[in-house]
Amino acid sequence: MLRLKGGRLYDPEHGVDGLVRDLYVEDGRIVAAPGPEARIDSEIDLSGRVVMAGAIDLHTHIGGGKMNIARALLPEDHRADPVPAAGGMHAGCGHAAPSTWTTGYRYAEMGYTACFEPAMLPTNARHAHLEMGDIPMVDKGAYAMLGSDDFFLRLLASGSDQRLINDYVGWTLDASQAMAIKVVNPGGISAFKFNARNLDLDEAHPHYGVTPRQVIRALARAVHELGVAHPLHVHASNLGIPGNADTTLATMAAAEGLPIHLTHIQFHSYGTEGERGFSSEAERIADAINRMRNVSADVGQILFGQTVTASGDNMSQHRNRRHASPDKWVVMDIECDAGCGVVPFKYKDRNFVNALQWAIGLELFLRVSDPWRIFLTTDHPNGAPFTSYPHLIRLLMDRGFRNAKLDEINAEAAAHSQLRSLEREYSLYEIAVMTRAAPARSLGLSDRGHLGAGAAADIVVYRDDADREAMFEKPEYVFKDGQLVVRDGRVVKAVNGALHAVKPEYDKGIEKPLKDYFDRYMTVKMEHIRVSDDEICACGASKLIPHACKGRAA
Amino acid sequence: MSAMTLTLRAAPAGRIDMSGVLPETLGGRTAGDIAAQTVRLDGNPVALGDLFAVTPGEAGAALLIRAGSGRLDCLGKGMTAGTLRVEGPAGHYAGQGLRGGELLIEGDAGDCAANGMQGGLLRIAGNAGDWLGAALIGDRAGMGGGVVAVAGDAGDRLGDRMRRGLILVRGKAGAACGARLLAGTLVVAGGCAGAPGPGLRRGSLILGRAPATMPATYNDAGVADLSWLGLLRRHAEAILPGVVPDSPRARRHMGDLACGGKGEILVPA
Ligand SMILES: [Zn+2]
Ligand SMILES: [Zn+2]
Repeated sequence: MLRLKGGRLYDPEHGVDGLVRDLYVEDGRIVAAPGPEARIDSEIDLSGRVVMAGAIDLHTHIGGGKMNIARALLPEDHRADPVPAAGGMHAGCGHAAPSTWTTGYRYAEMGYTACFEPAMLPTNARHAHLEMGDIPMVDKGAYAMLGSDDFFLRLLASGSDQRLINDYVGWTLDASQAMAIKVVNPGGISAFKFNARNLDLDEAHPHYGVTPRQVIRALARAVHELGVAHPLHVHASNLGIPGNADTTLATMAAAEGLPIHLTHIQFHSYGTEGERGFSSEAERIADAINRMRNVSADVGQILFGQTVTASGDNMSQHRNRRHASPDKWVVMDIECDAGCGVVPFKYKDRNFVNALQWAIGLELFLRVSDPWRIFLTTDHPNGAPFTSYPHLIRLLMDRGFRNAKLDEINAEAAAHSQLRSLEREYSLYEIAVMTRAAPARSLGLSDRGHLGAGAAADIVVYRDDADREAMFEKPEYVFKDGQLVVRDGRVVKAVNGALHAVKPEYDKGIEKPLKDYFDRYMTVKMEHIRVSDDEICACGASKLIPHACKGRAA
Repeated sequence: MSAMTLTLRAAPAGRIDMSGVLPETLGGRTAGDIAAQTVRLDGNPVALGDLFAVTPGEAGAALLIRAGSGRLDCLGKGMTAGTLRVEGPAGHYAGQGLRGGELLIEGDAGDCAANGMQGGLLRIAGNAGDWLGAALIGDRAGMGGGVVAVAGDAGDRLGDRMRRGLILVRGKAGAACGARLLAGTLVVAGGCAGAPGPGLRRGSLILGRAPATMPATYNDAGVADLSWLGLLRRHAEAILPGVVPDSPRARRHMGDLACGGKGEILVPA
């Protein structure tokens, strides 16, 4: 048994806010304080240290096809950031689109122990699992993308019973070994292929005649009725378009009170005011989130510098191709299942739009009052590479630092933003909520994201440092399932994480029409789509962690 | 600047990545300091001094590397100024991304020399491997400037996707010489194996000996007097004499017609 002695614990799941307590670890789990007769094999004195559960990133593009396209597109990204092999760690490379190994090591070195890929196409599931299996150190999971796939849109257009849709959604989760359902530009990815360059929430799809609102409603209901813990994960319509805040608010309402998660909401909080017709609607969006208890969001903060945007939203990526820097881009269809767009991008602090985007993201963080419903993301790598999280944490925790940065950005954008007037500074407890306890709860990971007895011993120890960036950049210790894997911000032991997937109950009868459909229209058979449990470990994950779902009556 | 001499102590156990061992980075430093610099042996960090004896050279002379093994990769990679002389053969990627200065290899060079080179001079006294002057891996354009002079032969894919600059080869080249050439000038005195210039878009491939057959996607445009050949010859004589043909008359084949056909292959008339 290992005793972690005298650390200052931040464990929001149990309301623990900076209490000094000992932690006990045995067989990869946190255990209750044993009696005096228990044998303590080793002990680490953590007096003065900050202790939290391992951090969880619930929206990061780390696998699933797009990243390979980004890697192929950006050899310069890899050349400029080579990582040599060292001490049992694989060599790698890449800043914005790092190689799988580098991704895992860098996440662990920041104290992350679980990462979720939000855009896995069911047709790409096998590849996504192979790629995620290659990512060491952290647990992984993926959200299956639906809503622009032909089979679903046919179901919806023909007025199918919700039960049939639930079965299809259940089958998709099961067959692709997914953790949740994601919808990207609902119906819009498909509409793009029918030459639509825009699709509003209540606009009929040019071919199927259904609207994005109908797509959201049907999927949100399916996810809810199947009993999937994580709400429907929505990348809303009209990403990046000035004035899209109205669409975003309408999208929240489209869930009709059912749980809904809006992702990278920073890209969806824009108004049209001012000389340039681009303004912040962060206040209105944040107010709505504060008011609507069924809504959660992650921010998708942008930070300045070179990155690459990779999204299933072919429609908006096609629109953004003009801003590609360096000037090259990819937009493609994938098996009629969805699409994909990869556009390299450089966010510049002197650019009015980029500077305001930066301020809008921070405004959202500071204006949403409940840290349980707003998550820390940069939509890696779309807003910035995940390695910028410690910097982002300092921006949230340190108003002086934030305002100093505000002085450096485009002055007009700074003047347009109310960021300077926002006095809030996140506490360590709130950071622990938004990066640990809340994502775990949102995903239904009952034994992660907290430090209670029975939890997996994913534990991070930081030196308390007034410079929060330095503090969160280099944890002193990171334990993964009880093993010491990082020491002073460097990996000391390479391990493989597990794969989390939900196992909903559904009527297998859906396979009959699906099989006919695949035989008739698709390039592969239905059976080939299914990724078996055995394959998950063959793909590199240490184990498959199934999560049962308790279906809810319609 | 006082120069240094690095002498390989023994045949290396693996491939040595010589990135960062450049006149510009070593200049002004003591031998002890230089010996402590890390290079990579099969990807693992090793002190330069463990692999090489580092001794001060003559003032004003070049940085000299006594190689004695073709396992030294990335010699002169990204160099911008000064002179780096390699006594013996070079491994792969010699002069990769070279931007300025002179890299002199007094033996053979491996594959991918002068990849993505932007400026400066690369001299290879022996033979060059495949992909000389081609693109860095993943890039869309090859060599973008500078001069490469090869006294021996060159391998396959010479000047693949080359965009600008000059490559002179006294010997012969391998297959697919001048493939996908975007622009620039490629001179091979000894001719080349197989079909030259597949996918050549623009630029000139000058062969001292006509190939056995010209590819079907090249048009014989007859014999022409090309006065610029005289200018090129005068320029090239100072670098590698006797490589550019001494007559301005040449038979001109326009192509590759499959790719716009704005380039040319010149052979002796
Ligand atoms: Zn998205
Ligand atoms: Zn995303």
